[in-house]
Amino acid sequence: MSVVRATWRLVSLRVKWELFFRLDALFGFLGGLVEVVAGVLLFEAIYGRVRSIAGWSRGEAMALVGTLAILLELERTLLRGLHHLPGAVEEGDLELFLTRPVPTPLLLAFHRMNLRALWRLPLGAGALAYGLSLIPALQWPRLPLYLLSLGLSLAIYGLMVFCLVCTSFWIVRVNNLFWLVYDLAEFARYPAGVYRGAVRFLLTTLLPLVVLSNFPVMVLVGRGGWGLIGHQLGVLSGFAALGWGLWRAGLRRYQGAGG
Amino acid sequence: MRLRPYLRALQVQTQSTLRYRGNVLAFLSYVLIPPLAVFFLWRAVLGGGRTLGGYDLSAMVTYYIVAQFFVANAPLSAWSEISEEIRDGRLSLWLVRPVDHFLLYLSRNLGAWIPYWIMGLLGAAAVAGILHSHFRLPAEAWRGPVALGFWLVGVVLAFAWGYTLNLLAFWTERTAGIVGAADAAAVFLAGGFVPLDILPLREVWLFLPFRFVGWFPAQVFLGRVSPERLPGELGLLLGWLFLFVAGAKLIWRLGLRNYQGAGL
Repeated sequence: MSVVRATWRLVSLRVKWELFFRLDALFGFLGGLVEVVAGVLLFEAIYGRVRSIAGWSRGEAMALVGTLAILLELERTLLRGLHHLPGAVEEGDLELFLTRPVPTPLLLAFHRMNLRALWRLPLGAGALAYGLSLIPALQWPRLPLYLLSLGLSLAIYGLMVFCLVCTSFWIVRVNNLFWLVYDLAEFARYPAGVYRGAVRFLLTTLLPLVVLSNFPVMVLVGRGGWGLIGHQLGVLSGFAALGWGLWRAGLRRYQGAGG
Repeated sequence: MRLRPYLRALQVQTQSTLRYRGNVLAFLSYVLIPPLAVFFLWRAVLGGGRTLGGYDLSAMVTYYIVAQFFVANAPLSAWSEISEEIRDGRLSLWLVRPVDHFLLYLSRNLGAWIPYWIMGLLGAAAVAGILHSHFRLPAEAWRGPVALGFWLVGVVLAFAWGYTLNLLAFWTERTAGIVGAADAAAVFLAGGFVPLDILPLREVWLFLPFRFVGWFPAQVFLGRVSPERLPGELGLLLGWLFLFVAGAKLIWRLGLRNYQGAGL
């Protein structure tokens, strides 16, 4: 209960803070709109001339744009606090988090929620709804499975970022590596069918970027079911084990020295 | 007008950027990864000799490598330091100096970007090497330098745009959202996501000046712009640049009337 209460308190404090900057939040929304519209227009330009991309229809590709936008906004909203870990390690003030009576990675993840990003969530949802409206025989009972898959994707993405920030126990300055993660997310923008062979294997296992956005859509449109969820659970377990190992080893190395 | 202070500012800023070589190296991913990722998409669409809007696979791959280099290396959001200094009053320190604020920040900005341009060029060359069977060099040797020339003027245009947006800090507390939104829009309008001429409503996108930051120089490189069109396009670019700089100067004057130097 204390974890829930602490998380709720962090959210409400953040809401108050964000309301100071309403105009800025509005423009944040417009920035998100441009990104989603760019994704939609790319596929509109292609599907204006072809009927499918590697077996993916226009509706499925649009659902992919929406799903990725939702996933990225949820990460920006909920888990951006993880980016604080390298700074805390460098400055030597990780104790501020370690001494609190809640699991430290959870506190780190939620203590800096960026609620402006939440404003942008309807944009991804809009693109998803547009995509789904183009799919004639959609099976709506699959929606809960889609949400489950999306939740697993968010957890995998969060753990990937967590593993990355844990390297700060050894490398100290890892901020530039965040750009690497965001650039790599480019691979998640396109239908899984365009990747083949070793690239596809890499992008669904060790660097599971295709899993993040494609699997929820594939579950929703009936291109797979519990098998895909099982795959996601496998990837999630792998990254959870890696993250846990890095965190434990990092804490042993941490000296609390710094600014 | 004495150029020495500006050249010195450019030099100092280049040295300052080089202190953080890790940052410069990390920038490689921005030039390397997106064209590689999008290659798989276009291979699926344009493989087997298909074309789209006059682009075959080679032209599309070349477009993304060249345009990504141009757009990623343009200062479309100028420098957040400009708005921060207005907000916290540090701008006063610049006002007492006998230099033009716009030119000074342009020099500093260019100085900061030069190491990134060199690294970006290496990154683009690496992608071109990886996708060498699809990358196409221009048939006429002059196209490379001319494309670069158009892009360099486009860089000044991009800076003027970002500079003006940062000046909105004279009136609003936080400009990060405004600059971020405008930056995303400008990257799109520069052709950083999709070639503008294959988009729906292409007349709208091609009317706006942001195309000179990425799409147009890439078209010159690809050989899709005839030599006869170049003087007219250059005149248009310079006209837009004049408008942007004049707009920036106007906002600067109006903003200074509003500036109180509070926060020091």
